[in-house]
Amino acid sequence: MVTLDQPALSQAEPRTTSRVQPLLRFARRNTAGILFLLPALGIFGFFVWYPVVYGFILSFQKNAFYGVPTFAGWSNYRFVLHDPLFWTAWRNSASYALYGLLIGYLIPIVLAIAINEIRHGTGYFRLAFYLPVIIPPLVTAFLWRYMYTHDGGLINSLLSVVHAAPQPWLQSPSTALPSLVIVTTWANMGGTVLIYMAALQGIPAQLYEAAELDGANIWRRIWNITLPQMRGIMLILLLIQIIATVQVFTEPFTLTGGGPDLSTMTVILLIYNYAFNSGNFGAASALSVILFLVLVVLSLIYFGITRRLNLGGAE
Amino acid sequence: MTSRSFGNPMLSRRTLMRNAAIAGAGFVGANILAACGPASSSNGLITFTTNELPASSNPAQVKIYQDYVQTFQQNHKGVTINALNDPYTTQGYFTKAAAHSQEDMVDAPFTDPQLMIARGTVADITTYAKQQSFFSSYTPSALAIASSGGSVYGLPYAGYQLGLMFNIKLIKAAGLDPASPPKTWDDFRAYAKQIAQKTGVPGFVELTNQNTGGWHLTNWIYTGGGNLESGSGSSTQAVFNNPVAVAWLQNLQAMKFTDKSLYNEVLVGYNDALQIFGTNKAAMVVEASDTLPALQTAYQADMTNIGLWPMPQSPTNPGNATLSGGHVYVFKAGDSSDVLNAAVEWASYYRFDLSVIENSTVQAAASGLPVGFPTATIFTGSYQQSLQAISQKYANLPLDNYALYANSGLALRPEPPVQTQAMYAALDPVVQGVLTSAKADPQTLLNTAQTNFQATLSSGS
Repeated sequence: MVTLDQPALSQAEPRTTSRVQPLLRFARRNTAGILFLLPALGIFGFFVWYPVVYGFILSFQKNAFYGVPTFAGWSNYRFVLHDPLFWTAWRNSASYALYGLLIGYLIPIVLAIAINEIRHGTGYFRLAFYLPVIIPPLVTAFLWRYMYTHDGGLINSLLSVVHAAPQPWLQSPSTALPSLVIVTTWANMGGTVLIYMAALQGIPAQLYEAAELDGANIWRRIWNITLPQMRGIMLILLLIQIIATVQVFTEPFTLTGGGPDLSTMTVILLIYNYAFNSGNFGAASALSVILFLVLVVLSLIYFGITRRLNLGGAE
Repeated sequence: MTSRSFGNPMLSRRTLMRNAAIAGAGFVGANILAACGPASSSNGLITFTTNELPASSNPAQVKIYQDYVQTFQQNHKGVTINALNDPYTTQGYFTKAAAHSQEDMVDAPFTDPQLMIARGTVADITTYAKQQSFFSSYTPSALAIASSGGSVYGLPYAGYQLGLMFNIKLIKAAGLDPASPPKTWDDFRAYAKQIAQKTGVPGFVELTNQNTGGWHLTNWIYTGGGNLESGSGSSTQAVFNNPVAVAWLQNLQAMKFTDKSLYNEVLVGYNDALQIFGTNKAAMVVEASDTLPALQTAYQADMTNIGLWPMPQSPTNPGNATLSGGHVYVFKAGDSSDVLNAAVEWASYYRFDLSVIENSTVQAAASGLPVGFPTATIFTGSYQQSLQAISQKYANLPLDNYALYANSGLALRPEPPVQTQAMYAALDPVVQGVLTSAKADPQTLLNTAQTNFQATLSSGS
């Protein structure tokens, strides 16, 4: 046995050395670069990858962080899947994404095209629509909370000027979710508008010139040139928006607390409640893993589409 | 391949960059390590943190607090108190406790010490607590709030009882008499309706959000003699889906949709309610007397215009009770005995020393802060008599406005002990539900909340 092992070891050694040596050579040549990277890699690993891996582990544990964790098998997943709030939260998150498409997806496209068509004051409008992006989310929430106040709030006061009835906005289960979508749209559309405007700049001017010579009016130019040319970026931003809206937390947390009557209880808010209201970190992690898997599917679709578009562009 | 030299071979570009990278990595590492370092006792120096610094919106109280900190530090050489204004929330505390980074001494509500004890986040302070002169004066029920298995884990220092706070001018404008409180739910409903009809101001605002809906529903269930939890420990059952809760919720629903006597908004948190009541937008609210200072300092409410009645009781099954709660100091598990001893000494000095209480009461009165509001009794004997004497001596509030509340004789029922805040969170949607739709069925909503909360109890988290 010993004699058989010896050649194997002696054979393995040069292979290992040959594999290790280029790495060592690379490390020696790039010591400074690696050292510069180390803090970033360390911080990224500690704050991003470690929580992700630890989340998976936690989802199979009974662990409140205050004692010895125990292996819980699939019980956290069973608990989450049998919780009546599970489907409520997914339904609300899906509705939020849907309202986001109806309200939040089209407005930035319309605004970008409108600003692009304006001859004067483009810079002003670009800044005006981008400004909400730099307002801290909590400030945005409190601002809208005041605007949505039933008695004396800005929006209902404006409605009373035109003799319209005050609306319940955040106070009714039927209007609370769309009201939150309006806040999200207002707060975030500036960035999307800028991306669309950049895409609009990339459309060859001769296409519009040719269309104008053919007598196409503005609507036909938008329908037949602008929208087809922007199709790729619109699809990518659509998927990014869906991925982002499924993860909505700040608005329901700060403005409604998941109410009224659970109408704005979203998946992330439910995760928060599991962890910090009930101290059930296992269930919180299990639901996080389920959400992660859903987002992985959406992200794969996103990557698939961007790859196809890139390949199409290269052709 | 050689790097370009700058004359001195030691200062080659590559060397310079490598040294810079090492220095940078070292700097970042050192900072991370420094940030993780403990703040406790070493070399005879003791530092402890607490969350109890008064809010900056109340500068007079901040000044009084800081003066006492300074005096204490002068008399206890080597002790430093690092006070933060970080009001307690269950979520915030347990998040920090999960990382063992909660403050060394935390001012918490009565609802959470048992959960803290079960999770091992609070220190056993029996030895230090029993050395304090006031300790033997605790009522058994007060002592039980932060005790378990014969050990003491906290020092309750103030109690409250919920009552019906009212706006005297609006009550009078509605033709009602501040000296005649509503005794039953029916009386209360009639009062709210009369106020709304006669003054146009909502008769009542109910709290519904951020766990306050569950908190107040618990109180109303107590006034109907009902319970919310049965059993104890791991066999605790949620029993709040009972006829008392249904009857109260039907009453509330009728006030909203039949009488139209409730404040319009459904999502009302603790501070929202204070603002609404403090700015005369509702005539009645369920509150405790310890909110009077906040009403004065934050909303400039006229203290002579606010009165307190005892809680109205169920007309058919009066519980003759009201919910009581309060504040308790708890201390961080794992702290050294030096830190625990210093923190307990500070608590003893600042909250329980009769001369300090008298001085701070004088200072508060001189600063125009409200003094003398009635509190729930957590002490007995001569210590309690001394506390009462100080409060009455320097009172600057119209105590007659609270006489019926203070002398109601209602039983003071503590909050349900197991997963209290999680239960309140489960009950919030119930209260919101009946205030959102006239067709909402209280029994169905309660059953759903019971299922949700029972799952939390059964998970043993």
